[in-house]
Amino acid sequence: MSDPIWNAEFSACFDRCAGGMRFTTYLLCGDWHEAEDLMQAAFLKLYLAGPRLARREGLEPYLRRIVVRTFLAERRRVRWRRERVTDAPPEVPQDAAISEDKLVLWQALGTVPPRQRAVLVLRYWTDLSVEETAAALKCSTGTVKSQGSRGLVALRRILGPDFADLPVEV
Amino acid sequence: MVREQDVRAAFAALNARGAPPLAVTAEDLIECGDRVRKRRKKTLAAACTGLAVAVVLAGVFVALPEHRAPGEITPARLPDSTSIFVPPDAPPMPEPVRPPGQR
Repeated sequence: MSDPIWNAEFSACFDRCAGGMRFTTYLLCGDWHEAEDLMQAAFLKLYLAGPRLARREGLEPYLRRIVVRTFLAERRRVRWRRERVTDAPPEVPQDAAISEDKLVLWQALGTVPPRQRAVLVLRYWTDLSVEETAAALKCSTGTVKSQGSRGLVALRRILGPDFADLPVEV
Repeated sequence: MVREQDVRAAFAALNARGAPPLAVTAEDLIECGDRVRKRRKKTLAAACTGLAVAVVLAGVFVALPEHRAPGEITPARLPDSTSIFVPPDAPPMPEPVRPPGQR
């Protein structure tokens, strides 16, 4: 028998966070369909864990942690599958709403290893601190710093030295 | 050189592009979650029942009379030496081998 109070809380949380959480997942995996699947899996885990949660006020950080860990677990699993999901984002933005430099950066981000990408997304999109990122990824702050630094170095190596000279405009 | 601002700006630009509509609602997930819970309960109940049946069967198997410990075993009576039949053409019994130095 499901708990009606928890169902209402869960529905409110879904309405509030689903869009943002799916975009975070999209930044991690680079594919809208996969992002939707991962987001659904994360919300389902949250729903099943809900009645056991002692505190339900801070659901968003908990949900973000589930999303990132589900993404990393999925990436570890696909390593053993015959069907491989490529690191390069399959959905390349093609309209003029995104400038070329951001498009290049986005494509380069797709080639960065998953854990480093997770650090970059959590640090520079969701604006988490090093400590919060470490808690989300279940690792030390030193690991977050090193992974973030390596992620930026990887981007730098892929994009070349001229990238910073390109205009940055939203 | 890639700066943090570049990464942030790229993310923001992607977000500004918009996203396809969500294909799932909270109600779908609640329904799915309830199904998962029911399935887990059924699996747990089946596992408990199976375990209980296995324990009962193991108890019955151990308690069966043929699996009990055998009673007191008495050694068989040795045959009488006069009752041993030796055929007439049997070869003679070999002499027992004595260890060297013993006479």
